[in-house]
Amino acid sequence: MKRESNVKNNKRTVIVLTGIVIVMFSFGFAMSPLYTLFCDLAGIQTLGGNFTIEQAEFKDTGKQSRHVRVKFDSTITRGLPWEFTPTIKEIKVKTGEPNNVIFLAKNLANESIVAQAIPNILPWDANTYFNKVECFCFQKQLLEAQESKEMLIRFVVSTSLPDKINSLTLSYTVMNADTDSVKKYSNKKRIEKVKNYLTDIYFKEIPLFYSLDKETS
Amino acid sequence: MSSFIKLFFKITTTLFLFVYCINVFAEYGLNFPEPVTDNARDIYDIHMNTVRIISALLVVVFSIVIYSIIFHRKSVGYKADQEFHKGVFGRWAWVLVPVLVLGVDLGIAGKAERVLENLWLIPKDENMMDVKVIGHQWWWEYEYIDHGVTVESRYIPKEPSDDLYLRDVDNRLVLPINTKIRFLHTSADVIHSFWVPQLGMKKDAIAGYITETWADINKEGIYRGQCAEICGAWHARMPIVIEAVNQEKFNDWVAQQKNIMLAKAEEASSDKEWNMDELMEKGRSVYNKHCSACHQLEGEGLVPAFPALKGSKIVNGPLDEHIKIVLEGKVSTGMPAWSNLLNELELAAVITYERNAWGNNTGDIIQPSDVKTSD
Amino acid sequence: MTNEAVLHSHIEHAKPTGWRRWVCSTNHKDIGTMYMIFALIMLFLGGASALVIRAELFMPGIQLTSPDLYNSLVTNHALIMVFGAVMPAAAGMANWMIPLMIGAQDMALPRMNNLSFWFLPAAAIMLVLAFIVPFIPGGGTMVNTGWTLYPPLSLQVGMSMDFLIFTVHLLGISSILASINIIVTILGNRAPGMTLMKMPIFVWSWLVTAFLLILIMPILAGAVTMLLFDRNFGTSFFNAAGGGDPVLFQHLFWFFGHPEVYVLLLPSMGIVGSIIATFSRKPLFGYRSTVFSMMSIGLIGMLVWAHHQYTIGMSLGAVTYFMIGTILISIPVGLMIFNFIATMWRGSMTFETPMLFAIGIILMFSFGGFTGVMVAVIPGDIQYHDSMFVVAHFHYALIPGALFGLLAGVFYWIPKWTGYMYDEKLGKLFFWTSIIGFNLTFFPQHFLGLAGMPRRIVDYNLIFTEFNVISSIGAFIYGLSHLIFLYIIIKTIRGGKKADGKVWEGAKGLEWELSSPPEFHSWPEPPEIK
Repeated sequence: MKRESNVKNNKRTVIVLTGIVIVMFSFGFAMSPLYTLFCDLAGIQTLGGNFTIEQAEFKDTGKQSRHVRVKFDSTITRGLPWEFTPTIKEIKVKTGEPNNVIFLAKNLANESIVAQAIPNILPWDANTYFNKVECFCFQKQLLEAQESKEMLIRFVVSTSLPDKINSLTLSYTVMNADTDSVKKYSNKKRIEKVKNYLTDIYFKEIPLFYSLDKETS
Repeated sequence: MSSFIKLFFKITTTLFLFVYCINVFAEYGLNFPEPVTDNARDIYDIHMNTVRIISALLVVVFSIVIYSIIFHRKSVGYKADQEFHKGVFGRWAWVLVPVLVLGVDLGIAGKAERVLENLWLIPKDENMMDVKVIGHQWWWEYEYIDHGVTVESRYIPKEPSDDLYLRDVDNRLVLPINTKIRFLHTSADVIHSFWVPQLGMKKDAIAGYITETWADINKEGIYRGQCAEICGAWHARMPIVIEAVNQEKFNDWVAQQKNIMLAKAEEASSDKEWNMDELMEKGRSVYNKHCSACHQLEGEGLVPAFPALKGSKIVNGPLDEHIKIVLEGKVSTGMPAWSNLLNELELAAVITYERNAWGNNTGDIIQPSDVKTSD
Repeated sequence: MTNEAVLHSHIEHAKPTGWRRWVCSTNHKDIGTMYMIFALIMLFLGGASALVIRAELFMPGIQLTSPDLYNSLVTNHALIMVFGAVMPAAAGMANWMIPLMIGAQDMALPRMNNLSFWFLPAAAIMLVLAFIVPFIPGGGTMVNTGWTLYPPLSLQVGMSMDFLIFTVHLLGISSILASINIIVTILGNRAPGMTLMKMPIFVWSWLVTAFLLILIMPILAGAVTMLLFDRNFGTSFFNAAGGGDPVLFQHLFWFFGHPEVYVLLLPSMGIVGSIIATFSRKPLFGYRSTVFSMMSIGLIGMLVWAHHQYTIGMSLGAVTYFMIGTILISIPVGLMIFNFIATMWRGSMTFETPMLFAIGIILMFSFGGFTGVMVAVIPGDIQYHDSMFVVAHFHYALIPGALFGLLAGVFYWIPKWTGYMYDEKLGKLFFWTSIIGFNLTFFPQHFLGLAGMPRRIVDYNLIFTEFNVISSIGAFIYGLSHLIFLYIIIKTIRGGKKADGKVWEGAKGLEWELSSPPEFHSWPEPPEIK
C-alpha cells in the first residue's frame, strides 16, 4: 500500500519539478521582450525607437507644438581610433516635426574598423519622447582605413514632451565593436600619455615588489 | 531612587549633552571639509542631523548595557528575574520598539528626501553651462561643450612628502563661481567616479552611459577630489582639481585655452624648415615627456623590457628603420605607434633628438615633412 | 526507512578510522570540525592579506606592493574572509550543533554533507591558483577589481579572473548543497515534540540563512558565468559595445551581495542569542519577535540591494525607494538587538569569554548599525560612498556582527566539542586585545572617510597620515592577537580541565544533555522534549 502511494507521490513530484524547469527555461527566453517592456515603463535608455515619421506624429496628442533646444555630443571610448563629431552643436527644433542632423565620422587607423554608437538622452525622463526615425546607432558601422563618412540621425521630438523640459542633450558613446581591435588600439592611443612605464606593460606581467621612488626623480 | 541611580542618570545626561555639543564644535576638524556649494551644505546638514540622532541613541544603548553589566551581575548577588517577560514592558516591547525605531527612521528619511530632490533634479535653467567629465585610465578629460575647449588633466609626479602628493594635476578644471553648471559624466573605458567633497558631488563614470549632476559654486578657491571607483592599477593617481574663479577670469582662461589649441595645430601643420637647435630643444621636451618613462632620461633604457637608445643600432643606423619603428611601434611590445599621438613636428623633433643626444652623433636633421604620414 | 531501521543499521558498523574517517565522513560532528579547521586556516590567510594592506597603508608612498598586487590583496582579503572564513565557520557550527539541538541523529543528507565540505578545499586550491597565475608568463594581470568584480574592469583582467570565477562556482555549489541539507534537517528531522517555536534561536537563524543562500547564490553564479562568457566566448552581457550593460552586473551582484551580508550576520546573531540567555541565566527575551525579526531581515534584505549603487545615476524614484527600504531594515535589526539587551536586563550575569564577546558584539554592532543608517541616507552617502567611511562601517558591522559571533560560538561550544575547558585567562586576554586592536584599526577610518580618503587606494596624501598610522598599528595588534586564539584552540584540543555535559551553569537545551564530547552517534534515540 505504502509503496504504491510512494510511487504515485514520486511521479507527481517529478511532473511538478519538470514543469518548474520548463517554466524557468521559457522565462529565460521571455526575458528579452519582458526586458524591453520593463525598460519602456521605467524610462531606461534603450537603443531602439524605430518609428516611421507617421508613427511618431500619430503618437502626439493634441498638445501645442513648441520649440525646444537639442544639443549634440559624442564620446569616443578607448581602443577606437576614430574622430566622431556632430556637424552642429545645437539646434532649436519644433516638437512634432522631423529633423536631420549629420555626425562626421573618420577612421584614423590604417585598417577597417567596426564601431557601435550608443545613444543617451538627457534628461533621462525625456527618453520616451525622443523618437529616432533613422539612426546610425541602430546598427554597427564599418569604416575603411582613413575613410570619412557622414552619419545621419533623423528624429522627432514628441509634442507630449513634459512642459518642464526645454532642453535635451543627445549624446553618443562610440565604441569599437571588436574586442581584439580594442586591445590593439588601447595600448596605442592614450595610455602612454601617463608618464609611467607600468601602463605600457599593462597586459604583461607586473613585478611583485618594487619601489617607485626612482620614477619621481 | 538610590543615589547610585541618580548619579547614573546625571552622568548619562552630561554625556548626552557633551556628545550633542561636540558635533557642533568638531565642525571641520574631524568632519567634512568646508562645503562651497549649497548642495554640499545641505548634505553636511543632513549628515550632522543623522550624527546627532545616532549619537543620542548610542548613548542610550551604551548606558543601558553598562548599567546592566554593573548591577545585574551574579557576583553582587543579583537574582535573575525569570518573570521579566511577563511585565508590561515585557509584553509590549515588541510593539513599542519597532514604533520608536520607525519614528526615528521616518524623521531621518523625511529630512533627507527634500535634499535628495534638490540634488537629483537638475535645474532646467536655459543657460546652464555644460561641462563633460570623461574618466580615463588613469586621468580625467574635461570638455567645455559650450566653449569648444578640452582639457586633459593628469596627475603630477611628486614625492610622498609633498603637500600636494596625489592631489595635484597639470591642467585644472577651471569653473566660474555663482553659475549653475551641469556636469555630464561618462567614461572612455572602465568605471570611474568623479568625487569632489567640497562640491558635494560624486557620480560614477560608466562607459556607454551619460549621467548628469549640477553644481553652483559659491566661492573662489581650489577644491580637490579623487577618483572614487576602483579602475585598475593607478586608481590612486587620478586626482581632480577644480579652480573656481570669477566670471571674468574664467572668460580669460577660456580664451587662453583656445589660443593654446590653435597654436598647437598651427605649429604642427606649418611647412617651415627647422634647424638643429630648435629640433633638439623641442625633441628633448617631447622625449622627456613621452619616451623617458620607458627609455629613461639618459637613453639607457630598462633592459630587458625597454631597449637602450643610447648607442642603439636602430637609432644610429638607417634613418627609415628608426622612423618606421617610432611611427608604427612594435607589435607585442609596449612600443606604441606614435604617429597616432604626436604631430609631425613632434615626431621629427624627437627622432632628431634621439639621433644626436647622449653620444649618438649621427648629425641627422629630420624635418616634419620627412615623417609625413598619409593622414 | 523507519527510524528504527536506520538506528540498527548505524549501530552495526564500526566507527571509521584513519584518513577514511575524514575524507568519507558522513558524521555531522566530524564534518563540522573539518569546516571549522578550514575556516581557521582561511582566517589566517585573509588576515595576512589584511596585514600586508595595512602595512602598505602605514605611510604615504608605495613601499611594499605594486599597485595591482595591492588591489589584488584587497580583492582576495574580502573573498577569503567572506567565502573562506565566515561562511564555512558558520556552516561548521551549523553542522555540529543543529542535530544536537533538535535531537536528530545526524544531518538529513549525510553524504551530501560530506560533498558540501570537500568542495571547499577544491575552491581554495582554485583561489590559490588565481593568485599564482599572474606570476607565470602569459598569465595577465591580477584580479584588481575589488571583491565586487565590476566590469568593464573585470573584463580586462588576465586569466586569474577565470580561475576566480571557477572558485566562486565551487563555493556557491557548496553553500547551496549545505543549505538544502540544513533546511531538510530542520524541517524534517526534529525530535517529536520539538515544534518550530521551541527550537533554539541558533537553529532558527540558520533556517532563515539557508533559505537566503538558496535564493541568492545562483544569482551570483549566473552573474560570474556571464562574466566568464563575456571574457572568453565573445558575448556582450556587460560590454556596451555589443549592446550590453556594465550596470547589469552591478545589479546582479548586489542582489546577491546585500542578502549575503545577512547570511553572514544571522548565524552569529543566533549564537549571541544563545550565549546571552545562558550567561544571564534567563531565557531569551522576546523569542517569537526575534524569530520574526530574523525572517523580516531576510525578506526586506532581498529588496534593497541598490543602496550599494546610489551614485550610478538611477532615477529619483528608484533611489528614494531603496533609501526608504534600507532605512526600514533598522526596525527588525533594532528589535533583535533590543531583545538581546532585554535578556541581559535583570538577569544574573557572569562574564566568561563567550559573554564578553556577546556584550562587545551588542555594543559594537549597534554602532556599526548606526553608521549603516548614515550611509543609507542618500545625501550623506554621496560623500561616504566608496570612501574609508564605508570600510569602517562594514567592518564594524561584519567583525562584531559575524566574526566575533563565531569566535564567541567557539568559546561557548568548544568544551562540548572537545570535552575540555579552554583556558579562561587566555580567553579573556584574547578578547581584550581583540577589541582594543579592532577599535584602534577601524574607528579612525570613519574620520579618514569624512576627510575625503577614497577606498581601495594603494597610496594617499599626507593629510591622511595620522589616522592611517593609528589604524595600521591597531591592525597589527588585532591581527597578532589571533595567535593567542590559535594557541588557545590547540591547547584546548590537547587537554585541560574536563568539561561535563552541561558545561555552563545557565545553559539550557538538548545539546547540553549530551556528554562532552558527545558520542560518535549523538542521539541514537530521539530525546524527550519537555
